[in-house]
Amino acid sequence: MQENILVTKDVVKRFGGLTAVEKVSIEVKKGEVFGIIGPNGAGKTTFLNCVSGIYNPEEGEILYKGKNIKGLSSHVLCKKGIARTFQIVRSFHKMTALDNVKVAVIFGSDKDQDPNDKARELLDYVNFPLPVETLASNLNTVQLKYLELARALATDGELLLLDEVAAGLTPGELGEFIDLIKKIRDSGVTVISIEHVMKFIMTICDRIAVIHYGEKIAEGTPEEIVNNKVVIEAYLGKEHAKTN
Amino acid sequence: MMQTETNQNLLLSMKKKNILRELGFTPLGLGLLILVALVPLFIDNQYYLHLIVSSLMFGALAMGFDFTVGYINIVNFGYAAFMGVGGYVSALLATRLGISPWIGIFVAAAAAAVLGFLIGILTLRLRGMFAAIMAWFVGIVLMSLASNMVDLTRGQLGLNVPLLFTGSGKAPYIYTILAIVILTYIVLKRMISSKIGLAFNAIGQDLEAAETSGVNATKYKVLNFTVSCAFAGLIGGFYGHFVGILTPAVLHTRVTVEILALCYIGGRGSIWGGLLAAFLIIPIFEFLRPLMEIRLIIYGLLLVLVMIFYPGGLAQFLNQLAFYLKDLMPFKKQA
Repeated sequence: MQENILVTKDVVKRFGGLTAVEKVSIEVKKGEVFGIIGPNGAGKTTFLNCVSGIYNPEEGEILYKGKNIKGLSSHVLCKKGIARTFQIVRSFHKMTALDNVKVAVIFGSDKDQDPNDKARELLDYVNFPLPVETLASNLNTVQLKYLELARALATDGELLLLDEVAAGLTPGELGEFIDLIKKIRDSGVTVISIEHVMKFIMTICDRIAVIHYGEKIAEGTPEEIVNNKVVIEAYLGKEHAKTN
Repeated sequence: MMQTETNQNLLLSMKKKNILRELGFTPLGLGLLILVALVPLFIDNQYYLHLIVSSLMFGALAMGFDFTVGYINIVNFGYAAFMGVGGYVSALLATRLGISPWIGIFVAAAAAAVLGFLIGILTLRLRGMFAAIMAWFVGIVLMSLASNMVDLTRGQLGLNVPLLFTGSGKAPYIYTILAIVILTYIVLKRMISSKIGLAFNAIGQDLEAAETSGVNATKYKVLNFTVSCAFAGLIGGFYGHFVGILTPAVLHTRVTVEILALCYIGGRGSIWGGLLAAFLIIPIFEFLRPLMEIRLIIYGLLLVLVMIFYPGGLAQFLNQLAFYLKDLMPFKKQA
């Protein structure tokens, strides 16, 4: 049995009277690709923000490699090995692609290395399709997604949190991204991925948790999840759950 | 033998050029600075010299202001107050304790830096807006203090400040403020071209992405704010000893807005843009005296125009011009 890299216990995040995440507990094993799915507004991104230190959850524990990391800020977690990408892609728009990655190499990684070489290497690793000197403001969404992946990897993270990387990709691009995520997983990085794209989930996720109205309603392998009555009910309504 | 000697000379001259480049000077910029330094040798009109000192002073303030707004993207609405604090600190040290202004202006810089540091620590964990508002309020409070602590500051009557130099000549002031401008420019540019500057840029362009890339945003924002305030204090100290009188109006938001306008018109994120803008705009207002009354309105209009047509200000315009000129001169490309 592999060890758990991330364990959350009853994580609760409220915004005023609204409870966005209600007692979500997951266990992510080292080296797997763990999917988080759920209808829009279910609290997936909020949950991910709790894990990556952007939000401080009101209740519960978040254990990373056995240590409680609840309440630590993003840049500390980044140093500890948690990297992430954003649903709405973010970049340092006035910098070149190379400099974007260099920021993460210089500030996010403790390894002693030449930032230029490492940044080039990473852009090459993710198959960044343009010259590295291209300004980030000139990139389209898909190119920015490659850039974000390179930036996340530049921090030498052991746990990569992806927030809908596959959204809005063409089938061809989707294939490339799936191969890339596989390559990243095979290099020893654990991946937690929020995703809506079924092809991505079914091909790459080892296990999936389903979040609905802030609560985890199911967990299991992709096959288990697609046949789970509660999940079908959450997505398609009671009627479908019955007839199935 | 001859060959190696010329090679060495070539190497030496190349090194010199690199040092200047490293300090952030282009040949043109350096030339203009030298030109300013030569002015007192040829012009004896004290009025013009006074104008040059004013331009340099506001230019330096705009550079310090740009360091914060142009890089970490936080508007320091209390900037004039930090300058005023510097002015009063140095002035009071000189009048009450008899400390030399030359030491006083550096103490002034330290005082403004400490104040900036405290405000930064309190507010910069939050979004930039809080720092802006807090600095603004602190500025307003400090101005009231300067008006009401009459025993110390003489309030609206104005505090008489000993001058830096005896005699009425303005030339020594030009060299002093020029030295301050160069110091400011070199320190700011050096920081920006280092790793620290990369962090500033990252924070200013996307705070969350910077933090998830491992940048300790609070630390760098506080550092930036502190340095920027230190220069405001230094220049404020000089201001008092140059003008000879300090009134609470120095701390007014109006002054911050003027600095902001110069910085934006010059071009955010360029450092030198504000200095250039100061040299263009301050003399124009001096010569068109009637306009002085409505200069804030004109600043407002200029800001709107810059925002719409040239968000990068004069700096962007000139950089583009230089880019086109380089294209026109193929022989220069090879060099």
